[in-house]
Amino acid sequence: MSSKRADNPKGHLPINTPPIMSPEAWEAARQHLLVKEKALTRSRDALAAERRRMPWMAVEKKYEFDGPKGKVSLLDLFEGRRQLIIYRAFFEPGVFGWPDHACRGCSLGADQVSHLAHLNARDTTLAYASRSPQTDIERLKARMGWKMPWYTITDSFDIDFGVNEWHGHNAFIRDGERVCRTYFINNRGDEAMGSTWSYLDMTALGRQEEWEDSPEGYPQTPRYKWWNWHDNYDAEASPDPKWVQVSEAGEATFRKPDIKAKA
Amino acid sequence: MKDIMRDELGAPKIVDRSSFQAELDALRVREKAHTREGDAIAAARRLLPMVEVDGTMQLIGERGAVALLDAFEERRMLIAYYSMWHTGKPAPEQCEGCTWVATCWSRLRHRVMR
Repeated sequence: MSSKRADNPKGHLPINTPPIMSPEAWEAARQHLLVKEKALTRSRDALAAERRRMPWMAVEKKYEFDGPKGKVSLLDLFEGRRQLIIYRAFFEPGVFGWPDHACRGCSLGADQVSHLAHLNARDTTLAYASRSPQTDIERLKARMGWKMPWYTITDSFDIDFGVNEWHGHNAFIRDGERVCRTYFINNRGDEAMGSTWSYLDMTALGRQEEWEDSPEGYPQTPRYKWWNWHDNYDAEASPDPKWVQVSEAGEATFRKPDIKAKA
Repeated sequence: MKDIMRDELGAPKIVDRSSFQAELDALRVREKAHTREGDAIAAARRLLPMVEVDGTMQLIGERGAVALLDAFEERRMLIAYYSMWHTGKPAPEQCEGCTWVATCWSRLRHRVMR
């Protein structure tokens, strides 16, 4: 241990730490646990496949929200895309932090929302919704640096979708003007939300990649190929041939250790 | 606009609120089990042995050379992600593939201190 570390009380480890081993022994222990890690990843994929086979709930009622430009319908929240995820965040009088801040848990969640260009590229919109007026939402977004669309709930939307007393993510799909609710995640399920993959995995269509176990006819494209830089999706309507080449070479390389491990 | 539900998606079953809730409740049992399995694996990670790393290993940071130990910024733990970068080339000429794909290698190359 260096003197710097010894001088730093925060750098001291708690007493009951696991043993320090050789790199080889550590790697062996890691490989052992990796079997469980992989199984968990696959079971998450299987769960997402089950979500895609859920029946859909028809949304018959007309909901109205306040947006930055005035009144909007649930359909408008899709912004023309096929799918919509709405997170109900608590920001209103009576919530701890009001009026300066939204609920701490909801704020932590808002901080981990990844760049939405990737989600949007899969024809899916993310929106936040709260009870507070738009003027407060606008101020909050500016203060905290949040960029997602954020609407004001004006009717029974929160009660009807299980988010009147507690936070939660509702997923919707539309066909023209017809809207269906397709999934709902709340409680601790919300803590894993934020990445492009977590959002896509809760939608009816999933990541829309060919490897996924989805019902017949669902839109799917090859994995990696649709990925782009967040500032470049608009410029490229179809995958750049060079990227297709590079991603294929990359995949061929990283799959090699797997092959060796199985042999 | 074409009817995606009927023409493309093989007409998924559209149900009322109570049937939807019943299906949701049934799947929620699996969701919860998955969450708990994730917690159990995280607990097993905390029991993994550690491997000692040379803290004086040099890295180049924004303000010049630093030791690996400095990368902790005085905190107890450090997570290092290995992102591939071609020295001297501007961002648009960096390999997109490596940036994504390197996720698989980073854990092998860095003996991240726990």
